[in-house]
Amino acid sequence: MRRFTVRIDSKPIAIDRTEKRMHRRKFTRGGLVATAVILTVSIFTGCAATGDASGEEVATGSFDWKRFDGEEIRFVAGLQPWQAAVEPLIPQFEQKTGIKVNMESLPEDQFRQRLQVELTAGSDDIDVFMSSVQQDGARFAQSGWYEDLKPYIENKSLTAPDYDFGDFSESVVNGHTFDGVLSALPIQLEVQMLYYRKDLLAKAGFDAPPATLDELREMAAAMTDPADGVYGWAARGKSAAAVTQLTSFLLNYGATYMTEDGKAAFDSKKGIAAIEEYGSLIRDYGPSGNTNNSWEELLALFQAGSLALWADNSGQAVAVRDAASSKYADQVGFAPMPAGPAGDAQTFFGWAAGISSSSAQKDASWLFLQWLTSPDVVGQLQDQGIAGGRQSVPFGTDVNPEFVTAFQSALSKAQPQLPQVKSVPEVRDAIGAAIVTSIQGGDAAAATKKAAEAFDQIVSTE
Amino acid sequence: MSLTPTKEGTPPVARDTATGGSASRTKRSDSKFPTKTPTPLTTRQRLSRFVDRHVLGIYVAPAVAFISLVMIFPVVFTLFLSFTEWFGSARTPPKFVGIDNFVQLFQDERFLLATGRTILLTAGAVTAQTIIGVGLAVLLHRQFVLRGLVRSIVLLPMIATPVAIALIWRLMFHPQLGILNDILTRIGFAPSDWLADPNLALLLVGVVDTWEWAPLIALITLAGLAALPEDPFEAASIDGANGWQKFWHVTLPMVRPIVVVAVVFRLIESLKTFDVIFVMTQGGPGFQTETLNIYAYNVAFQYQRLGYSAALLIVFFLLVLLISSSMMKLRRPKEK
Amino acid sequence: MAHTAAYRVKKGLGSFGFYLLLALVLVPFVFVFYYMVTTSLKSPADLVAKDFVWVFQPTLDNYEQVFEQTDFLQFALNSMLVGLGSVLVALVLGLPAAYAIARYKAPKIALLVLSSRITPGITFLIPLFIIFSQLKWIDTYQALIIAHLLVTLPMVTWLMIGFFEDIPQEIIDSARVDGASATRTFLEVVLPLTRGGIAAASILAFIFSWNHFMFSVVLAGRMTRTLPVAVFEFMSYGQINWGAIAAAATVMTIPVVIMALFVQRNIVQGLAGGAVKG
Repeated sequence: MRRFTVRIDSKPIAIDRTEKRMHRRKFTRGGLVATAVILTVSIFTGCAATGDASGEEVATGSFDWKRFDGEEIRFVAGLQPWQAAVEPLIPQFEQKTGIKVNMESLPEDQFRQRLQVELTAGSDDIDVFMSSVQQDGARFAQSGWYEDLKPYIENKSLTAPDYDFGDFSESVVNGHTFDGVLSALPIQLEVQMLYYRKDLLAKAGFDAPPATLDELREMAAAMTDPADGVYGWAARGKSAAAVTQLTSFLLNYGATYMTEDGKAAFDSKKGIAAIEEYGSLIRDYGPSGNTNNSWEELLALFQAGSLALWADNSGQAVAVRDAASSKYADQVGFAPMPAGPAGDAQTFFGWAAGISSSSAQKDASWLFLQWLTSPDVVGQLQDQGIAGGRQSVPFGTDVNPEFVTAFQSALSKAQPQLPQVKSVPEVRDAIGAAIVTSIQGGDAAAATKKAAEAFDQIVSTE
Repeated sequence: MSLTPTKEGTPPVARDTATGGSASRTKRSDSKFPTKTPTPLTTRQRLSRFVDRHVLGIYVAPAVAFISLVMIFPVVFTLFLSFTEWFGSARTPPKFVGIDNFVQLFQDERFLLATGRTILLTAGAVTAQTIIGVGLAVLLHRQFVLRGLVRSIVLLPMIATPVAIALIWRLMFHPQLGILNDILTRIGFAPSDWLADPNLALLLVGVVDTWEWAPLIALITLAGLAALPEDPFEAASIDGANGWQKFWHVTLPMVRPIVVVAVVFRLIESLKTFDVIFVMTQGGPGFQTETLNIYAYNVAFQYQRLGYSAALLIVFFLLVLLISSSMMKLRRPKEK
Repeated sequence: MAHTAAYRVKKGLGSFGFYLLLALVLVPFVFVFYYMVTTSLKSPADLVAKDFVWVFQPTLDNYEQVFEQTDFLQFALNSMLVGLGSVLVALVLGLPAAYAIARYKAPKIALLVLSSRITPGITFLIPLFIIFSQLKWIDTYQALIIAHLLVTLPMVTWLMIGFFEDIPQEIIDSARVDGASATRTFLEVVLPLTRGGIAAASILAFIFSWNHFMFSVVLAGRMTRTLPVAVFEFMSYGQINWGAIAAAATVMTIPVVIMALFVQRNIVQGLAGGAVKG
């Protein structure tokens, strides 16, 4: 960490110089070009400078939650079930440490945009941020935006003796490590899951949720009644957002996103069949406006009683059972995703939190991240039915047992929801466009082929 | 404050008031023609003379310098970036890739479609705005009660915050909560998917743009109508022309130059539509409302491919430049 | 022409037809605003009702939510500061330029200023973003003010060219003959004469800075976020709170509408780059 110090020190000077030259030469065109060159040079040379600029002393002495009393950190989060549940707990941390946490929560799309922009800008305003390693991990790590957490965890002066880092499984830790940098720690673990309305199922004469995609189609058809405002089936249709939900279909049709050597594979016959099935189910039995629906819209519809079956990530379980938000809360059942013609694969998605490498208060940030992932907080959240990343912390006894069963059965065989490439956002958009075409009843095969071409093109430029 | 009387014949007054000029007192000139040979001048006076001689240059310099700094510089910088690959991280600096980005751009179907969409949206929306705008202008040109109020109402769409307006339209188009589906079902039609409908999404973006900007064309045309002479209309009436004939053969040719001006401005602005699309659809469903502006934003700020986005912007910039300069040419001969 | 009964009937009908047409044309313009305001006054139950609710018990809950759950006043203050700042600088830079362009007929320079209106904003945004990042200026007022100058400067300049051209040459000449320097003439004679124009240009430029979205999406952060961005991001988990969004939209629009009423006559001119006098 310390090896950058010299270059860090020289950086502000380089900027000053650029600034002065900008002023002196702003009248001539040649000067402008010169300025562009200088600025560019400063980007080239100033390069390695960012990353970690704290220059903080390594903390020593015994561990003390109050060590950074009075500091203030900013935590940027996406609006997520985890975020909603953890926000009320933060005063506990503030009391415990005297550190003030400015938490900023934005809707998922806006959150991603803002985070990306601020991290690209090298802003030191972000200290701790939510991030998904499936989505951002490789790219963020490549850009050097994650602070390596290992030195903090190993530092006995900064990490509480009861933190129990070993409780995170080896595969989880490996999944969050890029080029040897432990980039983030898991905070919310989700599997894709089927939410269903027991009353509607019973009314249509079914006594159990669908176990296969064929049964799913049959039940969805039986329960769809637009005149009554009830739709038999819903899943995300909004392009990039839908990709995580498509994955189980793909796997259960015997296809994958990519081959071992990183080429697009979802345009195989099986892959196209999966995308067609995903699209036609939504088109035939889904609510109107389907290609603009992400989980936010669908959750609102499910709570309002408009959906009979809904597949989405398990984080929504808390909200669908919340009697204050929905009068159908006690009619909601949970099941793993139905099997397809080629198997019974399940999928998972994880949210994590990391420390920005540009943060000016990394030690205080670590205390916060440590607290967020501590057995205590994870326990409080698991009590509410929100799964964290710790092996030893079970769900609370109040959590709906049907949910727990479905969750654990899915998790036991779950695969990641996103292809493991660097340019995930761009790849998601490409695949999402094919999903949208499929939902709209267009030529799904052609659209999928096109998406696969785009996929290869994007991955080849990484 | 010093004042230099330069009026012919008036002898120059030596000044040593609060100008601080005592230090710069120079040899007194014996000429009678102060315009030719300067009388002893203080620094301030000389400055003032200098300014007088170079008013144009000095007055426009700050603005031009600013425009150059924030415009030409970014364009030069963008040009540089367009030949590199860069993910916006300080850790991995821009990598020179030659014209790869441009080659890739013209094989990038998403880019080509976005270009087509941008042109289609602009052409469609501006055509609609022109027709509705001119019609509205003719309607408002008459004298009627509450004309002032009506004019103010027509102004509202173009000055209200576009983000606010786009959010409200998004709610109106909402398939479940929106009023439009409610109206449709009430009068016996099937509800529509509106912004989620692939055949409608881009059209609706155009509708909102038209709603927002037809008033501008209307008001510009209205100004043109107000300035028209009366004679040709009287002549046409005498010739027995009816209202429609008068409009088509007399009014329209006469207001055409000013309408063309309005159209040119709308074309340029419309190519750049961002807020409405960004707020209503974010370019979706899929890429079905993604214009060059939105694509460039995504490439730069979602995918962090700053080099590629720079190449895209260069092409976009040239496109806008091409269209606007050809439009300017089109309009020049019609201007007096 | 004899005013026969038939003619009068026809004329009456024509007039009735005219008002009917006028009303029909105005409906879409008025309705969007009506919808915005009524939505902001609705309770959640009325908002999600299966059928659109025309008559309802108005509530101010949504407004309360906007002001209590967000830093709405801070966002408004940010918008105000950025608007005032960019208008002020635009006046300092733009007034002399416009005067010189108007008096010395320099259309090429005018075109240069206008070219910043023609260029897509995003072309500036990406380089500005990179430069401001290097300078650590992201999320500062000066960054936003510089960016918004790209909106306000051309607008002020183009509007003022028109006003300066309207000043009779004799007034300027007589001031010059009286011995005033060009600068003095400009400051003490020309500017006071165009006070109204300057006010109009400032208000108009302010409105368009206030409304501007794209630059602040990227360049503003937590400290400087302007209203349009804040409203766009104003949603909460699990549901998009349309009532609150409508309330925020209403509050954001009201000042603009009021200001616009004062400068009605100049709006067209400002938007059409001074090519038209309204």
